[in-house]
Parts: sequence; structure tokens; C-alpha cells
Amino acid sequence: MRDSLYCYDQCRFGKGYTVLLSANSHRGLDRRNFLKNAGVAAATTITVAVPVFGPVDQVLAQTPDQKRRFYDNFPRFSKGEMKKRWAMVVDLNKCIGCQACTVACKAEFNVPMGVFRTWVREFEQGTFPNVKVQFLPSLCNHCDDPPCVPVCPVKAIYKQEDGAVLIDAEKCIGCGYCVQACPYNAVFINPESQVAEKCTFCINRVEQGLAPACVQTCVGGARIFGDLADEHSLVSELVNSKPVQVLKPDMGTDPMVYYIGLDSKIAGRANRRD
Amino acid sequence: MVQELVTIPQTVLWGLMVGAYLFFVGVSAGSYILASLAYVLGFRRYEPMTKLSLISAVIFAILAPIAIAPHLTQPSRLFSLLFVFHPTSPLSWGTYILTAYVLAMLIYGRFAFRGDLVERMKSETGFKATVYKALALGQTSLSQSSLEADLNYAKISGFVALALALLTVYTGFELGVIKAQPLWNLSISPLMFLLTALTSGFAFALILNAVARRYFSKEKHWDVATTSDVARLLAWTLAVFLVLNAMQAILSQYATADARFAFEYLITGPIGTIFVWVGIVLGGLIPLIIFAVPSLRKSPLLMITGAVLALIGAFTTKYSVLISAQLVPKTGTTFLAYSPSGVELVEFVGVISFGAFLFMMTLWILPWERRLRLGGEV
Repeated sequence: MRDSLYCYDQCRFGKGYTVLLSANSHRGLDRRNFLKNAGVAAATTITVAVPVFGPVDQVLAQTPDQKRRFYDNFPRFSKGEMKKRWAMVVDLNKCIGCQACTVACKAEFNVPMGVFRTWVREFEQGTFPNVKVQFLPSLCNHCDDPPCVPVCPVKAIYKQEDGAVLIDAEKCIGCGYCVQACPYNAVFINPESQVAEKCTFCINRVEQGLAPACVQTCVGGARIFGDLADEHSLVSELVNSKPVQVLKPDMGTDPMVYYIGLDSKIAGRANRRD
Repeated sequence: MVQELVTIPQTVLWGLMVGAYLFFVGVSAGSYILASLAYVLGFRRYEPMTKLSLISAVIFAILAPIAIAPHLTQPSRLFSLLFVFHPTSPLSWGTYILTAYVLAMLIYGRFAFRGDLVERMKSETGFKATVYKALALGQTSLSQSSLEADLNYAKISGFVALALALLTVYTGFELGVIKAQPLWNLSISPLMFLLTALTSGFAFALILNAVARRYFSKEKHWDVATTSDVARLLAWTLAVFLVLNAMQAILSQYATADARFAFEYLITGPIGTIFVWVGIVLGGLIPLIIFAVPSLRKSPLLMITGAVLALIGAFTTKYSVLISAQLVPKTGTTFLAYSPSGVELVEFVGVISFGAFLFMMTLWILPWERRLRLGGEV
């Protein structure tokens, strides 16, 4: 029976294949034969497959999509540090509107054109000669009572113990509910990865002991980042000693981004035609 | 006067298809409430409308997720909505409510119309007879006891489906919980959604019933009595809806600056013309007058015109409220603009065409004309 099986293969596929299939064929399909053939088959597959599929794999690894998942798949990289309260203070007296923070954030996370994780608005109020200009660096406020977290139907957006509000890019279905719920326009749908995205307080950098990209690069020293639970940090000193304002305090979101010198007319209310 | 010199581009995220989804859920709920009036709530006067209303309720409830699913930027993850329950998210509630609602309606339909299916089965042969037998789930008895059992089960399942139909005001909560949008964040948002649902559902059922009985049934005559009954219901729902709008208009003048501005922008902004003239006047006041005057209720063509206007009005008001709120910038001074893109229009037409196809198939297969009264009489 065994010999007839091999004869069939030899007869059907011709001579070329008989070398591979019929090694030691007079002994039939025993273990040694099987392992030998399997080994040869595996070696052939690898020799053929790697040159064909290897470069494809490398190309895939370099798409912006793959790079972004490295940074945004937070459950793998961050468990959140206990008893920290990350906060940012923005001193508007020092902001010069250079947009270096905007660019640094774009570069850090490969944010596509047309959408921004942080941005600097510029307002002009009054008429000459009684005119003033104000810059408003905006980002996700990582609110203590975030309106975006309760409305996500798949729990993709969540608040960590250390205060950062993050989006799990592998759960997000892109319904845009968090985008609608945020009073600060902080969340957007990334057109390349097609999931919701926003400022993460550079949590991947912060956990390594670095400053967020925008804070690191701020030319005027307007952005200060730190742990509000630590009374000796600079953010604590500033929040406790200077008058600070937040955007839209009546929304009850308890934002963690404090502004020094925020003009009330500009504080997110400048949408009325007055 | 604050002027914004540097800003970021903002887009309107929830557009025509989300408006269509909210509208279809509403039409489905309203149609089902009409369908349940006869057997569940005991208003036998509306019995002739039951079957067509039920069919439209099921079809619109199926069209709603079809309208919204391509709008997700990750549609392949659609079913994770069923596997994850987030108690604080109206979208999460809605997934389960809508699914249970469709199933309950199908169960109700099976019990309410088993008799008609069996009768049709008897007049067909071969493969067609097998189809009807399968739809009746094999129970082909037309005895008094089996029909009474049908009525009991129809009442129970119909009641469950009615509760779920009322729960479809979760769509109102979907918009209502967003405090970032003062135009949506009103206490009466779910109530407004319920009323537009009733208006649009009743209007669609009226049109479908009148047109089907006049042009596609065996008798080919206008069903004036039932049509004017539904028209009277429509007059009431339209009246309550207009009163609620007036209440919102008055109260918003005394509300916070944001809420006041949001409402003023709805009336006077780019959507204002459509909202006021198409939504309120053409789609609310004029149908109300048509349906409220008893002598006008005798003309079926006038009823159908009024119902079409009411349907358009319901869609327009929902759409206007949805879009107008998103045109106001949440931060900054740059207002947005929105008009449905070509792709969205094609999607909209596509979903409606699919709905028309479903209607044609179900009205061809199911015996919608027969009226075997549950409880035994024919």
C-alpha cells in the first residue's frame, strides 16, 4: 500500500518531484522519512518565503499606522503611577505665540495635517489704539471629571490613576461621541489611523522622567508640567501662590490645565457675536 | 469685539447620516406605537393599520443601524458595542435597546399575524406554501383556542416591544447628555425626540396605509375612516410638539448666555431658514391645520399631503438641531459651515433605496391585506 501511494505521486507529478517525495521510499512513510521530508519542506519554505515576505513586513512596520500604535497603545506601556496628579500650568504672560509646541507635538506623534493635539490660538481684542493680543495654548485638559469618559460606548477612553485621560486606539470604534462631548475641542478623529485621538500629556515620555514634548520645547518657558500632588513641584507652587484660571469652569469638568493671566473675554467664551 | 487670528480647522462630525439614524429610529418607534394600539392597548379602531405599521417599524429599525454603521471610522469593530456595556453611555444603552426592540417586534408580529399567514398558506401550493408555513413556525391550526392563545402572546410580546419602543428616546439622551452643547443639553430633549418620533411614525404609517389600500390592495379604495383617525392623533402630537418648541424658545431667553446664543443661532443662523420655514411652519403648523379641521380630514389626498409635510418637518427639525449646535464653535470665534457632501447624499439615497427594497419584498411576501381578527372573528 505504501509503495503504491508513492508510485501515484511519482507518476502524477513527474520526475522532478520524486526526489523530494520518494527519499527512502522503499521504506515507506516511517518516522525518519517523515521528519526528513518535513525538515526539507520547512527549509525550502523559509528559503523561499523570507526573500518574498521579508521586505513586505519591513514596509508594513514603517507605515505611520504602526508607529502610532507603538505610542498610543497605552495598556501595554502604562499602568499609571499611583497618587500622582499630572497637571500643566500655562503662563500666558510668557507665551509669544511661536507655535513651537504645536510643531513639537506634531513631530513627536506624527500627527497628520489638519488635526492638532495641541495648538496656540491667537486673539485680538478691541480696536486701535486700545487693542490687545492674547495667545491661548490649548490642549486636552485631562479633566478630573471628564465629560468624554462616561459617554464612550466601548470604554475606549479612560482616566488613569495618575490623572491622565487616555484613549485605547485598539478599542475605539470612531463614533465621535467623545469628540462631541469635549467642551474644549481637544479630541479629534485621526484621518490616518481612523480612531479618536488627543493629547496624552506625553505619558510615554513622562513615565521615563522626561517632560512632555511641548513643555520641553517651549521657548518662553510658558508651559510648566508637573505633579500637583507633590507640594514642592513648580506646578504646585504656581497654582497655590498665583491667581490661576481654567477654561469653562462652569462646565464642572475640573480641568488640570491652569492658565495664568487668562482674559475672561477670551476664555473659551469668545463665540458670541459681541 | 474679539477676533480670532490663528485657529485650527474644525469639522462637523455628525452630519446627514447621523440625522438619518435619529430619524429612522423615531419613525420606527412611532410606527410601532401605532401598530400596538390595536392589540396591546385595546384600541380596535386602529386595527386596519396594524400590519403595515408593524412592517414599517421593523424595516426602519433595521435601516437605522445600517445608516449609522458606515459612519463609524472603525466599522469592523461595530460588534464590540454588543460585547461591552458602559452604563453611563446612551449609545451603549441604545445598542441593547434597539436589538431587543427588533426581536420583540418580530415576536409580536409572529403571534399577531400567524392566522393570516396560515390562511395564505392554504391558498398557495408547493414551495410558496412551505414558505408561509415556515413563517408561521409550523403551527397551522386556526381553531378558536389557538387564535386566543395568539392574542395573549401578542399582548405580552407587544407590551414588551411597546416599552422598548418608548425606550428609543435614548436617542434624545444621546444628544441630551452632552453638556458641551447647550442646544442639546436640555431637559426636554428626549421628550422632543419622542414627539417627533410619534409624528413621523404616525405620518409614515398613514401614507403607507392609505396608498397601499388605494393602489395595491384588492379593494382599491381609500380607507377614509382609519386615515382620519390617525390624522386626529397626528394633530395632537403636532400640537404638543409645537408647544414644546415654544416653551424652549421662551425659556432659552432667560437661560445662560451660551444657551441663549445657541437657540438664537438655531433660529437666525444658516440653518435658521430651514428650521423655521420647513421644519416648524411647513412641517408643523400647516399639517396641524390640515389634521385639526374635521372637514379637511375627509379628503384622503389632503391627509397624505399633510402627512408628507409632517414627515419632512420631523426630519428637518431633528437635522437642524443636530447640525446647528455643531456650527457654533466650542472654543474660539470661527463658526463652522456644513452642507452634506456628495458621498453622504449618495449614502442617504442608498439607505432609503434599500428600505424601499425591503418594503417591496415584505409587502410582496407577507399577506398584509388580510384581517383575521384575533379572538376568532374574521
